Amino acid sequence: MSSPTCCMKNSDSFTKNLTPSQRIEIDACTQCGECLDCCPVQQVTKNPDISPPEKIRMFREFIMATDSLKAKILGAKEIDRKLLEDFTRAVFECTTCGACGQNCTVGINTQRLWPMLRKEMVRRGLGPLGPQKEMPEAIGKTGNPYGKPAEERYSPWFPEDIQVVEKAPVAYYAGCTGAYEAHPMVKGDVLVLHAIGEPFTMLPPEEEVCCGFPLFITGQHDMLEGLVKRLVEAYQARDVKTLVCSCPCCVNIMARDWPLYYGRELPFRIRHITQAVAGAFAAGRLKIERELRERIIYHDPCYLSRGVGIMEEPRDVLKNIPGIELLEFDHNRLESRCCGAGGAARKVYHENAVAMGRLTIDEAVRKKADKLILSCPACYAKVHEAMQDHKTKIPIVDIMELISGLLGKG
Amino acid sequence: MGLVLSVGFYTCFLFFVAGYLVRMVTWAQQAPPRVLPGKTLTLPVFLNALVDILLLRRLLRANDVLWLGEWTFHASLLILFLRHLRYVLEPSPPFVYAMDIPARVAAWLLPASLIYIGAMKLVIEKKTYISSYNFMLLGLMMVSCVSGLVMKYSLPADMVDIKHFTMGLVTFHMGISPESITFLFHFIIFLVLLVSLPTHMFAAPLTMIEARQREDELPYLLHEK
Ligand code: SF4
Ligand code: SF4
Repeated sequence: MSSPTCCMKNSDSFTKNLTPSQRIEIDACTQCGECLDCCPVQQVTKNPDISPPEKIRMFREFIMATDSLKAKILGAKEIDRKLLEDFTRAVFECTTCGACGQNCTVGINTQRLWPMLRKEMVRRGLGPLGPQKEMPEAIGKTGNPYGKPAEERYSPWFPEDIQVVEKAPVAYYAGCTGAYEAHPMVKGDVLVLHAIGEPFTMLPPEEEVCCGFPLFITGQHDMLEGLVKRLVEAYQARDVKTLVCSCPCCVNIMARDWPLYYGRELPFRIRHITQAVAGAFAAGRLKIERELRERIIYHDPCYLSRGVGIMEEPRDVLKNIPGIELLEFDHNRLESRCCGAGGAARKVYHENAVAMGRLTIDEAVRKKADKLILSCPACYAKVHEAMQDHKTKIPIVDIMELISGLLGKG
Repeated sequence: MGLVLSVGFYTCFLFFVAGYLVRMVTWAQQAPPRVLPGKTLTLPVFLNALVDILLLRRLLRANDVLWLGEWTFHASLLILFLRHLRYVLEPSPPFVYAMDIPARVAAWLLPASLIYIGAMKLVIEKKTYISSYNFMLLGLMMVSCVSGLVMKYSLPADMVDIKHFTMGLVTFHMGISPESITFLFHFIIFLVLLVSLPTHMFAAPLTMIEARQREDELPYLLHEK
């Protein structure tokens, strides 16, 4: 772990990064432990020391040591560094999927709380962990957290016969994970948007920089304002009125946090690609003639369902495939179980992520699905990885990859 | 003894109130920059949240078997709290009298629900996460219940003495303490409970209101209203 920032003492207040509601949430946890049953990290680690109530209990103790009545009278207590490190590991091992919050008996919004607790630990020089630390520099140099060259952002997958226009009311943002790690997904997006028939614009590869989510989720917020302003202004210059994106994490930060970093309401609206495509199907601008007699199962990405409330449109899109039988996971929509790729934890706790991915694969296979349908580039990359060397196999397909493959081949 | 108990009471009460005040100041401290402006709470959302709070509806959704014990516990505790107000209010308001029969039932339901909750967590569901603090509270509550029942049914204390003493506490006229050992025990456990009450007591209802508001807003984040 990195060393604490120069002037930070372990006895400094722990509440600076928290909103009043989040400070109340820390006190609101009853330690009932009910959320452990739905936590994917608990399912694969069986370690209650890193469970939601334990993280909240530890953080509450930090606050008690620095901000309580006793601390005010007797002076703030220096907290044991080992405790702080244990807490940091626990909060970074989480996928920030938010299932614990969805099932919390008092309604704590954990999907928002954990990133802020991470931010506090970053402020104290204890986080982020491992490869997460390299992200700001990589983004600064290349525009993406993978440190890959901007020239390779679109070229390996962008369909040659498709042209984007310079300016248009609709823009498509591919996102770094899709563009570098899940090519079939972003290619599918572009093919389907093209099939809808409305012109759309995209930023040149060197201008389509990171949306900020990987930095946000790992508590490294310093560069966010710059990234957000750069992107918003670039889209504004192209007269964009609707920004379409398929990555749930990008969509989440765009809808929830971009206005905060931009300083006011965005000059365009954010839409998930399934909204645009479901709308096109409903309006008759898209139609699938080809039949697909298969049982498919759709996995709700945590940041799409719990994060921004997109649950029905992906299903509406899939129901437009003639012959399809749509299955559901036991935990679906708001109750969806994380596939393991969330919260940048996969970069550090790789085995956990693989084990979680395998739980998703196994359930899909158990339900006798012919295909597992995903709609998140991080899930796409990680679940594919989880299937390597795994006993059960199932074809994994992105939703737009599937739709684009069925379009126009009547 | 009366003096010791009185000083104990004032100290514990002060700690309880001051502790919460400091906590509330911490809650309300300046928010970091970049926080979404607070949404206005509409009446339907508030009423819905009120039902969440009164029925512990989120717990019901998560675990209906445990909910039965927890709801009985919280409801019994509330009834007994209201009934105990007769020791510090003179004349006692009508709702305190109205609690007489419910409180007799709650006095038995409370320890029963505690046993139920403990057994559910430890024996039946075998929870992997057990909060030792919660179990300490559960133990204290149990002792308090039992001492209350003993006082009511087997070693009755002089109610007039008790009321005299408790009224003395709230009017700052410290009097002599009642002689009943059971009362002393019951009162001391109450003081211990007062300083160790869980932080969720005031925080959880607020969080539940916010959660209801958030859930109502979610469908409109990416959809037109
Ligand atoms: S956010 Fe998800 S992974 Fe993290 S503690 Fe909650 S349920 Fe577990
Ligand atoms: S369900 Fe909510 S209140 Fe209960 S332990 Fe989990 S976070 Fe705390």
